[in-house]
Amino acid sequence: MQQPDPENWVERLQPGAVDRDLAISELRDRLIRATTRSLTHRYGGHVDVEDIAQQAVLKILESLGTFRHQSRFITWATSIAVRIGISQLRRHYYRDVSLDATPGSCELTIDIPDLSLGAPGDPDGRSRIFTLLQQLIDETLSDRQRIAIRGILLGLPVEEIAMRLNSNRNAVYKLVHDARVRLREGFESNGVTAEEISVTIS
Amino acid sequence: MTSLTFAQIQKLLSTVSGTVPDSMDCDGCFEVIAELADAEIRGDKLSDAMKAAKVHFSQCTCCAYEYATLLEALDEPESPSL
Repeated sequence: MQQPDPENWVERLQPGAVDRDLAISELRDRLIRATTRSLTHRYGGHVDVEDIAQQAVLKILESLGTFRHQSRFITWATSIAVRIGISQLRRHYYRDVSLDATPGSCELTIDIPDLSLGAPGDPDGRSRIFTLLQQLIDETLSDRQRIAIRGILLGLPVEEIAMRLNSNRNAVYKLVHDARVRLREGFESNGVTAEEISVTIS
Repeated sequence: MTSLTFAQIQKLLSTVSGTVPDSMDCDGCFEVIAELADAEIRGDKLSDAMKAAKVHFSQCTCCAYEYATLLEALDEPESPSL
């Protein structure tokens, strides 16, 4: 459904519009307020909101033709600023976290220690699931999937993993999701249900 | 070789057991994130694409985090009502 643009952002931001400079300034101010409110307490808050707003305005002006009027203009514009800001925050926050593996490296095995002894609950069931998980990781995942899973377990966002693997966010998301599907199907084909896994790790 | 901690094993098993089919990728999700935000703020019925984005959030913590951040960014007290 087409959304109205009561503040006439799209018209005012067009090249040659009478008050384009004023519209750009107003947009920039709105984005500075939005990013200050939403980004400065995340990932250590190392973010220059004025710089983020400036980058976002440039991106918005460049992408104006792709705005589909399916949301308020300011919501669409804010989504662009937020994505730029979070990407910068993540890059800074995770700059020292190493994936400790590169494609082609042989150090790709995820070793699962036997933690069942002494733990509460059903140690035999937990041990069986841990052993099966290890087996499924070794036998059904590719090297890149193991690296990506390791990154996720280290807390790295998908886009950070993508950057380090010289890939892109979509490809790494699919890589990780496919790995999860393989592991889940592996458990199911061995008679272990999702519910059983949930009980085991609770 | 990396030995996982118990917490990491829990996290891995939890994500594996919670895995569901996802018809959307991160770029597709970003394309509808603004309209989803407006629809949820207004309390509108969600389109199929918006529902797919919600499923994607359940599978992709990055996109879910960005969406939560967007909602916070839009929560401007003096903003005009929709």
